Amino acid sequence: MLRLNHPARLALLVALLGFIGTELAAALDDNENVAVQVWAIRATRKNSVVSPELKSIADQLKKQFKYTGFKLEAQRSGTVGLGQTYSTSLIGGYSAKITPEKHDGKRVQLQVEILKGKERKLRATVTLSVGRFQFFGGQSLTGGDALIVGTAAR
Amino acid sequence: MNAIPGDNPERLLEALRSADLDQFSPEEVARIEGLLNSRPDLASVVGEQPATPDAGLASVLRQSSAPQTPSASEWESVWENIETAPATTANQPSRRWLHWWTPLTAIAAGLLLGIVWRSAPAPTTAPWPLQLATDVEIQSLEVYGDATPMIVSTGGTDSIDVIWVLEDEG
Repeated sequence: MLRLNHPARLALLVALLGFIGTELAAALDDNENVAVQVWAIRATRKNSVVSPELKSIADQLKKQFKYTGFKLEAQRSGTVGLGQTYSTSLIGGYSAKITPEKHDGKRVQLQVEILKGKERKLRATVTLSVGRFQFFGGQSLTGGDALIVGTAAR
Repeated sequence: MNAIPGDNPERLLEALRSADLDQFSPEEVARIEGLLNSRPDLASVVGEQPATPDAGLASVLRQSSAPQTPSASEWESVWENIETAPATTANQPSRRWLHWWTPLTAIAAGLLLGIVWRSAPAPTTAPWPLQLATDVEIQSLEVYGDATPMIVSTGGTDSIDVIWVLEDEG
């Protein structure tokens, strides 16, 4: 039988309970956290190379846009709380800021900003199913290529 | 000073015991010496007697040879101090503070461990499989400069909407 009459034993119990409490609080807080992914795709007319991750959508993109090659050049990911902003650099001097605003478990509302250097190029607020990607494209890259930014959250 | 008895050894011994030897006059000492020299039987009886120390020296000798033991009252005082010592110590604020130092340190260590545990960088999320959103709601869309926003639908059963920006190439 554990006796708690010694101050050191009592302190160890308190410390253990404190640690468990911290972990529980963090676990509850994790429910408010949102995982975010940002992909940077280079669309080009110079070749027909398609990254393996994009094979499933390459035909749809080719039909609608004048580009033939789609290369996934950067994959970024992070976790932020609701109302907090996940910032990441992309390619060609572009960067993205993703702010999850609402999350009900099935759908998530994101504010998406795309910047080149410090200059804001696009800002949008979209609501989509968790884990599904939305593409934002058209920003120019060198050589006539275009940047397509895909973002998802869950 | 009594007369020195010369014919009775018992009386001579009694006289030597009861008198301070320093009080004998030289003549009396000489007489005793002569008596003892002429009476071997008397000399042997006197020689067998233990020496009688001086009264002052004897007192000093007793004090120096006897172990110094506390008196009963001193012992009583010592025991009282022993019995009251724990209570006195517990009432000292500095000792109380030391008493809680160990548990406080343990609690601080536990909290620090929790903070460090939570501060560890979260593992990078592995890339998700690409599934495009087909039910996107666009609440707002702004572009800057001379760019023009477009919503381009790929069409078909798996139609997706791509938000496209036409930049002014001029």
